[in-house]
Amino acid sequence: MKEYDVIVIGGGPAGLAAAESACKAGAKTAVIEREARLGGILKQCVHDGFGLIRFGEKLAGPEYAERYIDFVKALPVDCYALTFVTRLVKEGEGFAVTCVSREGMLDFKAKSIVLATGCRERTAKQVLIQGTRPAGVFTAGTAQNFVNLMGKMPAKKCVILGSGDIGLIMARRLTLEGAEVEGVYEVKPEPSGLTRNIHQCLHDFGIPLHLSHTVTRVFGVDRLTAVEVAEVDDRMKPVKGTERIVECDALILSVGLIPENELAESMGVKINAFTKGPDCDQTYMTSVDGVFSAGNALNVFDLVDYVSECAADAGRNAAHPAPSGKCVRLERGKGILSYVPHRIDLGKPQDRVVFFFRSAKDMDRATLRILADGKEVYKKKFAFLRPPEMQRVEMDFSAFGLNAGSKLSVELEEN
Amino acid sequence: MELVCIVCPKGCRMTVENGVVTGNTCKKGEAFAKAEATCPMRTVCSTVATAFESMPVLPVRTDGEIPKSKIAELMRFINGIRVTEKLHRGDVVAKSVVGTDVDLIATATIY
Repeated sequence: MKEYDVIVIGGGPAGLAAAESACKAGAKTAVIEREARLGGILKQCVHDGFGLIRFGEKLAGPEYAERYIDFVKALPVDCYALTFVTRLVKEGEGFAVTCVSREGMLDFKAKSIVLATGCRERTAKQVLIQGTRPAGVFTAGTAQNFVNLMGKMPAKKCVILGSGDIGLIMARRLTLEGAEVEGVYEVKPEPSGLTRNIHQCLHDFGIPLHLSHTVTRVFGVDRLTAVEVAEVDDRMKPVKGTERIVECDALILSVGLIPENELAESMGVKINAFTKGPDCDQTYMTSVDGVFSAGNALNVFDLVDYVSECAADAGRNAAHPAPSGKCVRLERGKGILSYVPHRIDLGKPQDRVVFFFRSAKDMDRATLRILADGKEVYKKKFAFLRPPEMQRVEMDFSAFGLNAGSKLSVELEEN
Repeated sequence: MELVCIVCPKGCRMTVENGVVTGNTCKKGEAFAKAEATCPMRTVCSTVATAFESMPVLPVRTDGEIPKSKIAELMRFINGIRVTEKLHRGDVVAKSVVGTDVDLIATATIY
């Protein structure tokens, strides 16, 4: 049985950054990846825009991934590809990791774990579309895999439901490859993707965006032949009489991402209701001592640069794990949708805490406030906050005079 | 003309009036807005076919921006390419595409 200081589960951008920093911090480190190749979802993200913060360059996804693969390959990190973790349990002072691989079962031991398992797309079943079950209904990520990795076109004419970033990126990608994108339909009154993607993916190609609209039915026996779209009211219920049939051979869904945390849950890691990822302290340690969470498994990010930053911190901390001490919970106040970290461990460094948050709604001007025992201890002004655009702030929590009995909260006020 | 900057994910809302840009927070944004008002430029990312079964398509991008009006012509050119060499990330797939001085480069390594 091989023993490591840190085992990183997942070899995407978060896992690679965590492994790099854990190894550089002196830990004997391994990465376990279920696919044949490292790089995670970035392998199929052939569009550019990655790395502006991390490298000061606009890279395509595979370029960004390969740079991190090169960093990791230059270090004494063991990488296990085509290896799937089936069981993760606490054992003595550390953890026992059971995997299946082409060689059969593999057993590892680790002092600490970084869960970098990424996220999963919501599927058709989860958005309750009525009708038959023909072929031709894909998530945007599946369509992206077809086009960008296999070189196969999944559609001649398609409708995209949901205006998440991958849907917008695929609207452009499919158009470039000669498919017709009839339109993007978004049930909410505002788009879910980044503003820049609405412009460069839809406006550039004249693809219409129908806000407050949804797909209500699908038609077709073997293959999708049409969908029914309708306007929705302010309670997101379809409005009678607004239905329209759109002939198409594919329906592409971009209706949200959910952190993948089955392994975390199997260990009893507490999941945060708003990020849908593990509840964590400022070192990215979960509610289970020695288990860290990073990247989209922790919290769905919109920039890989922030995934790398968060994961590098998690990996460094996992190399020298400190048990959980007295914590002050950071409560969610008004105007905030989600954030990390969720608690401040008073026994760990607090002087450079990276705080990521999303606003609950569009705000033209807003003030972010941290309140400790009812007193404002931090404030920062923002212009143009939108829920799809995550914000990053560095804070010195050691200056807030916290003690074990402190009440701590974060809020956003529109002004 | 009102526009949203696509240079970085910040997405600044800018206005161009008589060649004067407002609302930008950096120099790159100003340059983008001026170009948008005269000759919009884009980096194009796509894939090209390969001769390798393990990796049927190779991701590529223009190593710089080309006029937006030339995107369709570039895509026709890209769809005619078939790579037969084991290219490395950053290698030039085609030089000076669609009458520009911009190259098409590989964004991944063929394995």
